Amino acid sequence: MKESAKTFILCKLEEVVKNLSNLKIIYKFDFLSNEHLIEVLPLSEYISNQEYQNIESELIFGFIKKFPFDSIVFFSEDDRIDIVDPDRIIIGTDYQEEIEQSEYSESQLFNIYVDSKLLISNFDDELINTADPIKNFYADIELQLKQSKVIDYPEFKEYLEVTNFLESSIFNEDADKVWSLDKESKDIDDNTCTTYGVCNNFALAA
Amino acid sequence: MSILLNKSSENFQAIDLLDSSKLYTPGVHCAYYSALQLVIHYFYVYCGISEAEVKRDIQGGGNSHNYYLNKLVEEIKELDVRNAAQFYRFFSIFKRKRNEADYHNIKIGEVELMEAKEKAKKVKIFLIKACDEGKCEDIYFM
Repeated sequence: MKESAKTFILCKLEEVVKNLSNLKIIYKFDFLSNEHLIEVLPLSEYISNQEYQNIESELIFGFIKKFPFDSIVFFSEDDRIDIVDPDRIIIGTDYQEEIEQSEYSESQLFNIYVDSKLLISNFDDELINTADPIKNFYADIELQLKQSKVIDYPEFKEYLEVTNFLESSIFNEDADKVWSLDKESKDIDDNTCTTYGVCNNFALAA
Repeated sequence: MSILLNKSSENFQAIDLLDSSKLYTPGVHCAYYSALQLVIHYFYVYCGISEAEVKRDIQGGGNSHNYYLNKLVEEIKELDVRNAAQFYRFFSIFKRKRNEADYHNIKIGEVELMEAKEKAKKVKIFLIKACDEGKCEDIYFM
């Protein structure tokens, strides 16, 4: 039973990479949890390639219909799930590892402005339109702020600039996203970066 | 309120209690079960499968978590294929994370607990909208 589920998946994954040759797929069946783990790289394709997502949907529905007691887990690098000792690695002929530093120019910086009540971020329009990982970036920052956590998004460390809102001329209406911190959150003083540890993590404080 | 919904709500409330006692691993456990109990609740409401049928199907040793999720997602698919797949992707990662929290030799802290809480919240919003209101939305933007 397990072997046929594995065979079914591997056969489909080979097809996926044949059709989308810029992908790399890492597969492992975890027999302890009964989960078929599938890491799809690069992250940008996993998040925003509609053709890939359609194929993934077809695979999911084909799989759960055929194997209703099994689990198939599609994820990418930002999910922080490690596959140790994979059963199969399928690499497309056009696959290239994403090198973040070469993807964004210096003008495409994330600007995050913080004062004691608001966090306002101003994102480069072109970047928003072209890079879907930003959606996850938004969600991640929002989540961590809601929880008054240190922002920790190391993948983006090269592209984030943190500036004290009080010293900037950006107003709310210019921002792409505005998050209010709840009253329970710790106060942020002028030295916001230190309070949140943002600077230390991103190393690009203004 | 159904008993399962009540259990789900209790598990969700337990997250903050466990967080305040710095019991992060059981907190992740509760967050996941809070979401799973919602899946089971909506499975019984919408899949038209009785408890006796479930028992019969699972008797062979199949994983019940996967069974409930897979059947429910097949129902949601009739509403919106894309978002049903997104929900499946989201929930299966949540399930994996809970599995790692409970059984793997990895440290679970407050960040992981808050992530799990947020995921449980999103599952709830998604299922209420999809199953109760017939509106299927992208779970990643909830």
